[in-house]
Amino acid sequence: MRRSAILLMCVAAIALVAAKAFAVDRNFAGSIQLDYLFVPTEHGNLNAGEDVGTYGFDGFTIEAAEKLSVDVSNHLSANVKVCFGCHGFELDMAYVDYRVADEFNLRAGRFSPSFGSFNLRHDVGNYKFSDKPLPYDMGRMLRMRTWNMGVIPSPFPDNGVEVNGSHWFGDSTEIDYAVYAVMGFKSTDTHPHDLRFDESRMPYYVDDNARPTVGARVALTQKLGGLSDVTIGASGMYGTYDRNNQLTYAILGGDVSFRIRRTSIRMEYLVRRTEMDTTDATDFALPVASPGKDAFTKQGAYIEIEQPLSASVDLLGRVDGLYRIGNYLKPEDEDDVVPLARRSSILRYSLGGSYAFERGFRMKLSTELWQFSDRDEDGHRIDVGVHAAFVGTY
Amino acid sequence: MTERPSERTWRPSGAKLVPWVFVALVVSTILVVACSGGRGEGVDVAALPEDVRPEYQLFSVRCSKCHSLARPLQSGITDDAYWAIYVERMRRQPSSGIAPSDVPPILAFLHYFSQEQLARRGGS
Repeated sequence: MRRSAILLMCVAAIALVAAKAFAVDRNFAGSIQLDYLFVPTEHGNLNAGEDVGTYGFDGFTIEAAEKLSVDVSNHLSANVKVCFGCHGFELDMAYVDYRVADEFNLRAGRFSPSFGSFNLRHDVGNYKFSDKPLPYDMGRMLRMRTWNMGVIPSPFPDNGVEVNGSHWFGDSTEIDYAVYAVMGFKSTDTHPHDLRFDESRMPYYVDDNARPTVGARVALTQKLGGLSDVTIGASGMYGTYDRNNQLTYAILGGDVSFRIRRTSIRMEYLVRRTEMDTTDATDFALPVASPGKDAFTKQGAYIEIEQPLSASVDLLGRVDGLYRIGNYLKPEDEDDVVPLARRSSILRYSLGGSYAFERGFRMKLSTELWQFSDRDEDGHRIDVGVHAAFVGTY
Repeated sequence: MTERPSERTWRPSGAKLVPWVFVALVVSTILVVACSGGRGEGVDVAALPEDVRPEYQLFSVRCSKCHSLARPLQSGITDDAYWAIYVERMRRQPSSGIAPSDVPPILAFLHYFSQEQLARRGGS
């Protein structure tokens, strides 16, 4: 409650300051999505168990966001965004941009560093499925605890600085870039074995080690005609995540997006290599190959298409998946089954639609077929999920 | 070592049809609503003057790459100077695909749209 109150007070204070500033432009925007996830192939309540949400989050979830943008001058602007989700309020953005030219913009504050193409559309009002692609999942996937979500959650707001910019070569070719240094992901565990995404959203927004995570992105957009274009991008991020700066993580990504009139086709591939502390070999399910330190890799990819069928209806299709290679923690109770192996995979096939009742109010409907390489304790390797959501933007 | 449940414990006969039943439900629902019309998030092209339609077409493609058309059309902005700043900010977004030469026709449509909005407000 205290954290929520502080965040709300920050937004209110910034809004008041913005009102008094000699701002050229102020823009307030928001979005609200209520999503219902039903998994009919599972018995009982997925949210039950010793650790709530062990398997997934079926039932209603809400995601809401309020954003204020202020153009203080031709060169200086500020953005503040607060979102509300499963874990309460989160400061998604609080940064200033100082733009010297289109090719050079300095960003400082709290923001999601430039990585991949999905991140720019991470708001629920900007994508038409109810949930995010698996590589960017942050809690809506089945077996989320076992897999520790996707490759990198989106959004992943962090404190730091970024220099970015873009340049057009004529009217048909655009290149943009970004380089940044941020706090990076964390784990304050005694023997860290993976990134602790929950610690990135904790109210104590302070790094657990003194070494920043660095990263970069470059993308090329080429017009294919008057109303079509293609964007090809590459991203990378590298840093340490433990207190002693001994364990590294490196994330690489590549993306291709086609825009052919109103049809969008998007593909992304991400891979993360994460070192883990294997000092205590008894923590692990498999024999520890290298005492002291080992690593696992997690790959993720998706391909999706959005095809407008009419002014108000879009047809959506997506195939996404995750592939993990490496050791993993064994369960605390020997009778429990951990649905992982040295090589494990998830494939998900989604089909859906989006219907705009009117401008700013949509219904999202989709169904998902999940295929897991490993059986859970009920023997499942296949599940079905159904999403129904309403989203409003203003 | 715990014996794993057999496939039989969760997959009764006919259960393999479950995914396809849901796919069929979703597809049929989409087709039904697709045929039912609806206002959509953009502008009714048929109601636009002929000379504004190409500008709207460009706006509707360029300005829906990262977000829905509801974002700009619901923003409440009716001032041309504000639009110029707004569109410039969007043009500078990474991989926006909005070339400098796209800006004048997009602004021309937004000017038309703003005038319509102002006229509607004045008339209500």
